Formats: sequence, structure tokens, C-alpha cells
Amino acid sequence: MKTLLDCEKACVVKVLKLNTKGDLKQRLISFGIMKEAIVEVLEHAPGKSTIEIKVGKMRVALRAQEAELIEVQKI
Amino acid sequence: MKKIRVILIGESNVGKTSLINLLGNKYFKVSNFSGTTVEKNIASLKYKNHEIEFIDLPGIYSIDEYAQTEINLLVKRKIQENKYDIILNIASATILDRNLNLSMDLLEQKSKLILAINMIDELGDASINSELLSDILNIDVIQISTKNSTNITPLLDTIVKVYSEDLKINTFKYPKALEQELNMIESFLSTNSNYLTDKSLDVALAYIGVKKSELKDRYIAMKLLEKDTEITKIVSFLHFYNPLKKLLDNARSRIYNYYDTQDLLYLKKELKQNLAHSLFLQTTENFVHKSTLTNKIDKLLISNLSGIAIFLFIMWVIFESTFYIGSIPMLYIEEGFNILGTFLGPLIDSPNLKSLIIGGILPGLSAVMMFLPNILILFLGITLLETTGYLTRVSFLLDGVLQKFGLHGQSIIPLIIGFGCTVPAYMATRMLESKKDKLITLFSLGFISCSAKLPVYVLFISAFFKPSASGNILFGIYIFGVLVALLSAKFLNKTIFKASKETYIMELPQYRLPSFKLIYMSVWLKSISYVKKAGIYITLISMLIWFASSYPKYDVVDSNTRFYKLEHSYLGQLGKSLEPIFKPLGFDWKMSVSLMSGMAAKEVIVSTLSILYVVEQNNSNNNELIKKLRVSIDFASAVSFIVFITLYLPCFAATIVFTKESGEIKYLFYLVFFTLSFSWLASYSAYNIVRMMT
Ligand SMILES: Nc1nc2c(ncn2[C@@H]2O[C@H](COP(=O)(O)OP(=O)(O)OP(=O)(O)O)[C@@H](O)[C@H]2O)c(=O)[nH]1
Ligand SMILES: [Mg+2]
Repeated sequence: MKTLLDCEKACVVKVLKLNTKGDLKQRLISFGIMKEAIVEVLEHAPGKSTIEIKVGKMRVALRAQEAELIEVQKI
Repeated sequence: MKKIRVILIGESNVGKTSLINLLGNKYFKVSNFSGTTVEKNIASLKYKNHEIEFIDLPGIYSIDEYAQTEINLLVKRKIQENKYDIILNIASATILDRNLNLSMDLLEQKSKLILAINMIDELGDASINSELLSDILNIDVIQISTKNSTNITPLLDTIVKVYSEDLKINTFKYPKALEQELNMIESFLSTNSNYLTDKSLDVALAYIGVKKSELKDRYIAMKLLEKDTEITKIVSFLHFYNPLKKLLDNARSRIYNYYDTQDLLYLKKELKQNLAHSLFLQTTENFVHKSTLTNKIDKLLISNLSGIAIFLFIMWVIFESTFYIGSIPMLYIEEGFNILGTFLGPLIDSPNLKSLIIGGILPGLSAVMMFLPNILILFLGITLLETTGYLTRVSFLLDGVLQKFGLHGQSIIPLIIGFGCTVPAYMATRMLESKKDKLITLFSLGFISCSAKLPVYVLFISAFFKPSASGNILFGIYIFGVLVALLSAKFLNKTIFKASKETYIMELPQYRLPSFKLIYMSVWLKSISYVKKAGIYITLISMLIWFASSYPKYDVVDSNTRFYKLEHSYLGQLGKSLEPIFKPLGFDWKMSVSLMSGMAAKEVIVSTLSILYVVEQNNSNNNELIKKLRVSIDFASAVSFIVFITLYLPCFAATIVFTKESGEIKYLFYLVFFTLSFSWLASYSAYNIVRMMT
């Protein structure tokens, strides 16, 4: 199983599943991070604690712990 | 004249506040990150025989957001209170694909709705077909730009038009698999419509935000399908509950099967997102994904360690220029006040009044106004950080580090605003979702030196350090405050506010060059408020200090009497009584008194010192004060004084806001105890260390 955290910089992936529920899941969907969404990894903060991704036209920052919950597939 | 109440609802950072500022000629705070507005702002204008009132609210992502944050609740309450005629949904053209999500939510509200797509100046080659969008959604859609004032009159016309029209039938539909089930429950409810008489239903309706008169069975049906506990409980007492329950169970199992999920809230959201997305594809053109300027800047600014180095460099530049550029006009301001003094002096007859004005108020004012240029530059720096979008990048870069100290990546925004003024910084903590993050940030903020402390630093640095090192010393003082803030956050996180890990998801908006007007107004307004504050507080406190230092009157007339008089004045007596507390830190009674007056506002420390130390002259000037400080205070005491000022209580106004934001009076006592005891210990150590070294 591959998660968003495993992705290198500049890789483009498709979201398969969000392994979370409640608040966080809603928030992720609000940002367009959901099943079938295409996500590009833009930058890693020092120590890879935080990553910057691009979903649609929007850049979003999230923590490693959240990225780990997002199952993805390379396209 | 008819009054039209328009409520602005939209996601964060789409330009809601920019719009009401433009319409109502107001200057509410605008900046390029999510969560700028934390309270309701109101602006109004007269247009074609109508008075249109615009209510600007914080941004939200969804109406039925789980997260019960203060901000979400505020907006939700405003929507439910229904004290408006029209919802004006603001979206940003640049992220329309996501913004349409919220529009889907709003379509479900039974209110008049207008969609305004802002920032069309940033579209470039892309285009939006608003007629088509309008046809599909059956609401008015209008494309605007608050930056270039595009389509503002058509927007107002639309508002007036929609106001006089009847409420349109909303055509929002879910995909068939869900819509069918919804309709079935809906019609079951409407055939049993007498259930409406049940009184507890009022409560339930208020809870989901529907007025009874416009009750829609659809809402209840949806809530029942979602297994909403409140509504289910109420309905479960009704006589037709059993058949209804069977119906619901069947409907749910069909939905679960079809969509392969049991989480209806999530499903709803996903379906809306899909609808929004297909709507976006249908109505836009040329929204191609290309590497933008923002991506290139980001590569430079937030790549790994170089990003942190650049951030530190930027902050260093801000403080250096604050010190050096700010000191250029100082002499002129001082000179101006001197001239004013010599000019006014002969005009005043009464010796007491003369002494009050020339010896009290003027030197006080002059001592503080001299630092206006420094403060302007600092504000300019902070405004640029806020309005370009760089602050969100700093948050991204430092989130990892801040986490180690128990702070949240977003805490950096209030912390940096805190370099300007602690009051808006405390308010900005509302963007933090967890109470724990908010409280820790509130406490740490006290150690971030606000601009009002700048005059004291500049004064003491000029008096006690080499000019070539001054900028760096100033930067060092700020860094020292930040370190203490971080450590105290760590301490609080380990002791008082233990909690689980928080989530961090934040939008990084594209970089924007703020317009000249935006910068100018924001710096201008801040300086006006500095001058006002100086004017009011300093005049009042200078009067008080002057009075307390001139009375009681003694009739001795030799050259030592001035000192004698001062030491035995009311103020001198107060200062002496504080001696046991402050003596171990190396402060004389005048310094102690100035610290006390600094609790009202930090600038007052400087004006108080200038009144107390330069008593002999009838005409104070800053160089005089610097010389006086140099001879009366030793180096160790000066360092100790700077340390104490860096760490002790925020000003009176800020303390009140702190209490309000923290939500409990007990935190105020924590704050007082925590900061005072800590600053005392730190100053005590600094004093003794420096004395040992020199
Ligand atoms: N290019 C461009 N930028 C705009 C326009 N309107 C607003 N902005 C910028 O967008 C950013 C956000 O503006 P705000 O008015 O603070 O947005 P808001 O919706 O009130 O944001 P929150 O209060 O955080 O919810 C600022 O940097 C504005 O300068 C516009 O029409 N064109
Ligand atoms: Mg706003």
C-alpha cells in the first residue's frame, strides 16, 4: 500500500482511499482531497514533517501524519 | 428607502472583506491567507433608493462542517438566524473548482442567493461562462474583480433586482440513487404532515436552521437518513415512527449498497464535490494546469533549509531597517517638538500649567512620537509579509519545528502579527482550531515583543551599545523573546495543556502583489492608531506622572532641591516602596515607576523615563535622556531592564483581549503569575551574570 507520504517530490498520483473519518475526512474533502482526485507533490518541508501538494488549482500544506492516511496510486 | 441586508458567505481568502471595503469605503483587515476575518464586519451604502447593508463574515469551507470551531459556529449561527435578505456567495475565480462546493451547500439553504466570482483579473487566458452557470444553478452569477473594481455596479443592480424578485425554486438535486430515496421519505413525511404540530419539532428545526414557515420535509428526510441523533429522537416519539423506520432502513441499505459506504455525511460531501467539479468543467475553459510563477517562487522560498535561512534573513532585514532607516527622521521630530516647546513656553502664563505642558506632556509626547518612523517601517514589513502570502509559507516551513515545541504551524501567523501589536495577534489565534493550540499560542504571544516596546529598546540600545552593533542587538532581543515564547510553549505543553496531536491542513494561496493602496492604508491606519494611543495614553499618564512627581510641594530653594523634591514626591514615595521588589534586579526607583506605568501601554515607559530623568531641563530632548540614562544606570541594570521589558505583562488593552480570547478568568491569573515571576527570575539572572562578567 502506497500513501501520499511515500511520494517523491514532483510525482503525480491518484487518490484511492482516505483512511480516516469524521472531522479530518470532511476537511480533506473540503480541500478536494478525495477518491479519484489527482494530486501532485510539490515540496517537502525540512525533515519531511510537512508536505505541499497541489489539488486542482490549489496548493495545500499538510502534515506527514495526515499524508500517511491518504492511499494513492501512481499514474 | 428600503433596507437590503446582504450576508457574504464564502470560503476563506476569496476577497469578501476586500469587497465590502470597496463597497462601503471601509478598511477592515485584508491579507493573503485564510482566516483573516475572525469577526463580523459591517459596511453599507446607498444605491438606487435602497440602503444596502453588507455583512462580512469569516470564511468557511462547508455549512455542515463537523469541526465545531468558534468561527464555524459563528457563521452557521449567522446563516440560521436568518436576519438577512440575500446570501451573496463569493468565490474566487482562481480556485473555482473548490469554491463551488460551498455554493452547493448554499443552494440547499432556502434563501435568495447570488454567486459572485471574484478575482477575474487573475484568470489570464481562462474564461468562465457565467450565463451557463447561472442557467444550471438557477441563480444570478456575476464575475467581479475588487482589485480593478470590475462589475461592481452590475453586482449592485443584481442585488436590488434579486431583492425585489420572489424566491426562486432551487433546482439542486443529488444524483438519482440518493435523490430517489430522499424524495420517497420526503413524500412520506408530507402525507403525515400533521407531525408538524409537535412542539419539540421547533427545537429540531431551529437546530438544523430551517424556519418553520418555510419548512422543507426534505431537510428532515435528509437528517433522518443521516441518522442525525437529535432529529431521530424527536421523530421516534411520533405515531408513524415504525413504518417510517422501516422505510428509512430500506432506503439506507439501498444507498449503502449502491455507494459502498455507510457514512452519509461523507457521501453527501463527495457527491456535492463531484457535482461542483463537473459544473466547473462544464462552464470553464482554458483552465490548464501550467507551472505558474507561484511554483517558481515556492521552489526558492520553501525548499528545505534554504527556506528557513531566507525567512531568518527577511526578518533580520526588517529589524535592521527598522532601526537604521527609522532613526534618520528622529532628529527632525525631536527638533520639531523643541521648537514647539520654545514657541509655546512664553504663551503660557500660569507657571503650573507651563510646567505641566513643557515639563510633562510635551517631553512625554516627543519621546514617543520620535519612534513613529521606526514603527512605520516595522508595520510595513509585517504588512508585506501578510499581504503577499509569504506568511503561509513560513507556517509551512516551521510547522515541523513548532510542533516540537507544542505549537501549531498556523501559530506562526499570530506570532508574527504580534511583532506589530499583541491585540490583533490575540484575535488571530481564532484561526487555530484546537483550544489547546489556541491557549498555548495566547500564552506564548506575551513574550513576542510588540512594536510599542520598540521605543524602549531603541532608547536603551542607543544609550548602552555601540552604534554599529545596534541593529543586531535589536534583532537579538527579538530572537530572545521568540526563544522564550517557544520554551514556554513547550513548558505549557508538558504541564498544563496536554492533548493529542492536532491536524494541520492549510491552503497556500498564490503569491499576490498587494496594491499600493492596500499597503498604504494598512500602514497609515496603524500609524494613526499609534499616534492616537500616544496622544491619549501618554498625555494622560504624563500628566499623572508630572503631578505625582511635582507634589507635594516643598519650599526649599537651593540647587539640590529638585532632586530632593522628586525623591519625596508622591511618585518618589511609590518608587521607593517598590524598591524591595526591583532592587535585586538593579533598577532604581525611576525605572520601577516606569515599569508600572508601562503596564498601561509600553510606549509610556519611555515618556515616563524622560519626565523623571530630565527633570532639570524645561526642554527635554532625547539625546539628553540618553546621556542621563548612561550616567545614572549601569550596564548590568540596563541589560536586566531590557530583559524584564521583553518578558513582563502585555499592556492593559492586550490583557483584556487575552482574557476574552482565553475564555476563562483563571487564565488571566495564570498569565500574570507566569509572566511576572518568569520575567523577574530572568532579569535577576541577567543582572547577576552581566555583573560577574564586567
Ligand atoms: N488579484 C486579486 N486579488 C484580490 C481580489 N480581491 C481580493 N484579492 C486579494 O485576495 C486576498 C484575500 O482577500 P480578503 O478580502 O482578505 O479575503 P477574505 O475572503 O475576506 O478572507 P478571510 O477573511 O480570510 O476569509 C488579499 O490578498 C486580497 O488582496 C481581486 O479581485 N483580484
Ligand atoms: Mg475577510
